[in-house]
Order: sequence, then C-alpha cells, then structure tokens
Amino acid sequence: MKTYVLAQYLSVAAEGIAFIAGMVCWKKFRHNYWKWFVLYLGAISIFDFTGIYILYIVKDAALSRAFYNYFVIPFEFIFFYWLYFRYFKGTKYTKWPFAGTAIYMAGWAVNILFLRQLNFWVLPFSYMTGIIALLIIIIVFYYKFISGNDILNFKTEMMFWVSLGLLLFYLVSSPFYGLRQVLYKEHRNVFWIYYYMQFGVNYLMYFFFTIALLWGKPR
Amino acid sequence: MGETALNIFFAFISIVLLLFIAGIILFIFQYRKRRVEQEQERLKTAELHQLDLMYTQVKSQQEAMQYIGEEIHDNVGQKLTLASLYAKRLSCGGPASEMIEQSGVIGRIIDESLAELRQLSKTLSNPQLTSADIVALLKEEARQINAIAGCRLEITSNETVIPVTLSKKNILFRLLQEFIQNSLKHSGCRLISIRFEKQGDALFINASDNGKGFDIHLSYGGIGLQHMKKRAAQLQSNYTIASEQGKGTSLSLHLHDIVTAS
Repeated sequence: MKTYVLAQYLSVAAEGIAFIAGMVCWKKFRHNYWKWFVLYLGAISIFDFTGIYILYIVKDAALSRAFYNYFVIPFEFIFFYWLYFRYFKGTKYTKWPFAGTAIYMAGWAVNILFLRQLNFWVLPFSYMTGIIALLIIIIVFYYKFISGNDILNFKTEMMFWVSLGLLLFYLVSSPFYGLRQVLYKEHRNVFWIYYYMQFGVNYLMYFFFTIALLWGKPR
Repeated sequence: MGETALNIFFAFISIVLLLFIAGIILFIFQYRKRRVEQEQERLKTAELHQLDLMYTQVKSQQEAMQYIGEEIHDNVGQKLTLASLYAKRLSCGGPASEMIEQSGVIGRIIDESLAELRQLSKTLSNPQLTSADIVALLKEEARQINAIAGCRLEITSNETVIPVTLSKKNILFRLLQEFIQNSLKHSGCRLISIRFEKQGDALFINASDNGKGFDIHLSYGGIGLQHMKKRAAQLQSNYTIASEQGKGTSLSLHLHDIVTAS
C-alpha cells in the first residue's frame, strides 16, 4: 500500500476513534446538541471510507471528486456552521454562523456555475470561502471565550477543543488547498511535504475532537 | 508564475504561523489575567462575607440587648413589681387564709418571672443560628415546642435547604420566633404552621395559628408586633399580618432577594 493511501486510511481511523470516544461517553451527550457532533463523526468516517473505496477500489476518480465537492465538503462546512450557531444560540453572536453559511453557499455556487474547476480535488474558491468564513467564526468564538470567565474552565469546554482542532487544521491546510494545483504541477516535492503535513494536522484535529468528547462537559 | 506562487505560499504559511503563535500568547495572557481577577474577586467576596458576619453579630447583639431590656421592663419588671406589692401587703398582716392565698400568688408570679428570664437567657445564646439554615433552625424550634404538649408547630418547605444570607436569616428567624412566641403566649392556639416557598431568589413565607385572634385595628401596646414590623422592614420584604377574633392570626412575608446580603 502506498504511503499516501495509508495516510488516508489513518485519517478515517482517527475519525473512527473520535466517534468511538463519543459513543463511549454517549450518556453525557444524549440530551444535548453535542450528540449530533458524535453522529457527525460517525457519518464523516463512513463518507471518507466511501471516498477511498470509490477512488481505489472502484477506481472512479471523477465520481470520488464529485462525491467530495458536491456532498462531503459542503456537509462538513454546513455542519460546523450549525454547531457554532447552536453554541452561540441566545447570544448576540448567532448572526455569524448564519453569515458564514450564506458566504460559503454563495462561494460554492460561484465555483460550480462560473469558475467550473470541476476536475479539481477540492473546489478552491468555494473551499477557501468556506475556510475563511469558518475561521472568522472561530475567531469570534475565541474572542467571546477569552473575554468571559469561560476561559478559566477551558479544559472542560468542548467548543474550545473543537475550535482548536478546526483552527489548526484549516489554518495549516488552507495555503495547501488554495495552491494545490500549482504546487502539484510545479513544485512536486513541496506538494508532498505539505500533503503529509496537512494529514498530520488532520490527525491532530481528530485528536482534539477526541479530547473534547472525553474531557468536555456539554453545556 | 511558479516562483511567485511558491513565494505566496510560504508567505501565507508564515503569516498563518505568526497568527497562531500570537493567538496562543494572547490566550495565555488572558487566562492568567482572569485567574488573578478571579482570585481577587474571591478574596473580596470572603472579605464582604466576613464584614456581613461581623455586622450581623453586632446587630444581633444590639437587638438582643434591646429585646432583653424591653422584656425585663415590660414583663419581668411588671411581674416583680406586682410580687413586691403583694409581699408588702403581706407584711401588713391580715387573715391567715388571705395571707396563704397571697403568698401562693407571689410564688406563682416569681415562677412566671423565672420562666421569662430563662426564655430571655435562651435568646442570648444560640450558636446554631450562624450555621444551620432557616428551615433547620425552625424545625429545631418546632421540636422543642412540640415536646411540650399543648400546641403543635409545623414547618413545611418546597425545598429542603433555603440559602438565605446570614444577616437576613438572623432577622427572619427572630421575626418568626416572635410570631411563634406571640401565638404561644396570647392566642391559645393548638396549631402554628409555617410554610416556606422558594421561587428563584425570592422567598414566600406564610405563618398562621388557629388561636383566638385579635382585632388588628386595636393597639395592644405590646412590642412584639412592632418588632415584627421593624424586622420585616429590615428585610425589605412585603409584610402583611391579618387576624380576626376567633379566626386565628396569619402572617405573610415576601422576600424579593434572599441571596444578596442586606
């Protein structure tokens, strides 16, 4: 098995471990919106496994690309905007996840209808708008978090760990996804270094999700 | 294009890393700041609590002294004056049967005075008052009253423990104690019931007896009712007392905020 394929399988394993951690602690989430986060992890590990299956077993790269561009990636972004919306519910910050969803949906539509980068592994324009919107929401979250007394209990604050994972992953991987095609064509060695690096932060993100589920106290 | 893209790429990564490091530094700084603030708040709260405790103790002592003074003057003093008058009449002589009767009356008055003095000394020292909660304090009071046959005191509450600040608890306890004492002394009741209803930070209290009652419009000159009214004002509560001859007496109190010290 090639290293990059193994890296993808390991990513699915990291998602699966986070999902299992969530299921182990299911009792504390079952009456809370965080149960959807656990189910999201289960769904995303199935989707990623399906993506790998289509790519390497069925050997249909176009279908795998379409599966990610039209379904998995929008699902991921919209889920996290929704998670932040639930977290901010009842505060003045609720408009941010709404705005994020609108910006991402607009970026996605522009990408599909006008830019037509359909042969790309990820749609760069929509992906970048999604990342920027999500990063702004994460910054809003941290601003709210460090301004109040919540910061004193950061260890048990689930959103702190989830946001840390997302921030690390999207901050580190955004330059890669933005310039992926160029790097692949013209700087192959840089491409591969960064390819594995973004897998590294991916594992780290799911590690933080696992911490959130094990240590966190849903509020 | 290739070189430019690579430069943009590395510049982007550098900015991202710098932002991330700045974020971590800011987080640690804010965390430490909050910790210090929280510690200061904790110390301030402890200091305020200590002050509240001292203030309550001093106030309770003053109230107790005033109460004792008034009780000695109004109750024990009057009784002993009467006993002295009887004793003086006794020294003037008279028929033996009358003298025996008068000495019996003197003995009864002195016994009553002693009982009053005992009751007063009990109010001087009550270490439980600072530790137990209001429901527990009144339940203890009920246990003592119920042990003596004659009248029954019932305490009910929608919550087992009602967290009232120390100063308010002391005033409230004294107020209800006054109501109980008045009912026991004057109403001839068989049952006194006190109900606590906690709703958020507010507390509703309903106390009633099934005694003979009194005409609320007539002044009885006693200090008990005045004390109760004064204490209700100290609690900043809505205070109502209702009574009708033959239909018992009821007291209702509505404390708006029991968690903030007065």
